[in-house]
Amino acid sequence: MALTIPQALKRIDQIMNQVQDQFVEEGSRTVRSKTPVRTGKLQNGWNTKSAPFGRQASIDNNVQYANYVENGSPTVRPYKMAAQTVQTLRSQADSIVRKAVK
Amino acid sequence: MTYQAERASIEQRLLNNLSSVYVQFDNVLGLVDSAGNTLDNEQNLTEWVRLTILTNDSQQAELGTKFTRQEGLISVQVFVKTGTGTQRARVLAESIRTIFHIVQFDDITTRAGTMTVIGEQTGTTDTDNFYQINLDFPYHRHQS
Repeated sequence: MALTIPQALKRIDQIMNQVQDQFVEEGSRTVRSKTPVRTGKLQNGWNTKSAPFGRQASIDNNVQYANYVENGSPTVRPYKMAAQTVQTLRSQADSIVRKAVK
Repeated sequence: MTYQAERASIEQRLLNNLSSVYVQFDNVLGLVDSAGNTLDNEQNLTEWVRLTILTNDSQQAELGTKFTRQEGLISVQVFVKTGTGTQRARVLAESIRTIFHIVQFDDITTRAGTMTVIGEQTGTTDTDNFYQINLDFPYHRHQS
């Protein structure tokens, strides 16, 4: 299949959007599954955001004690749900990109 | 390598290479140092570290076999007393970095570590409290 340059650029753009969406979706699902639950507030506190321009997205949590759960304290062990999610996404990056390019 | 062998290997490596510092391991209430001395709690210590092994996802590494790649995070929290400066905490962090940063031991391979300064607990000036630095090392190993 031959594509003109504008068609190819459009296709690349589609692939990039699909890769970003897939990373956000997978990341959001993974981080929720790795979040410890007592009341559910922290697990439900995860939000995904996409920048209005450019290719950027974030998964964040504004619950006050999220930092303590992630990084621990002298009395609490770290859960590292975000760090573990990054590790998971790294190992899945290849398959996410392949799926989008197909 | 099994889950238990993984734990033993990581804990032993930290303990063997970090002298004169008390370490708290997973699901252990007290602390221990490389000489085998034990303490019930950290209250009278000026510095100590806590090791947490966070075993993460595993993936089939070869089609048709049970050979899997197991990933995880080695997380070490370094604590020094609040108000004693950051020098000792950073020296300890550097020692731990040399133990786990991009190394292979037994069947475990670690990648580049990350240091995060957590600091004191918000609003705390109490000298009974601790200043915290975290070190995280992603690792993987294989299991058949």
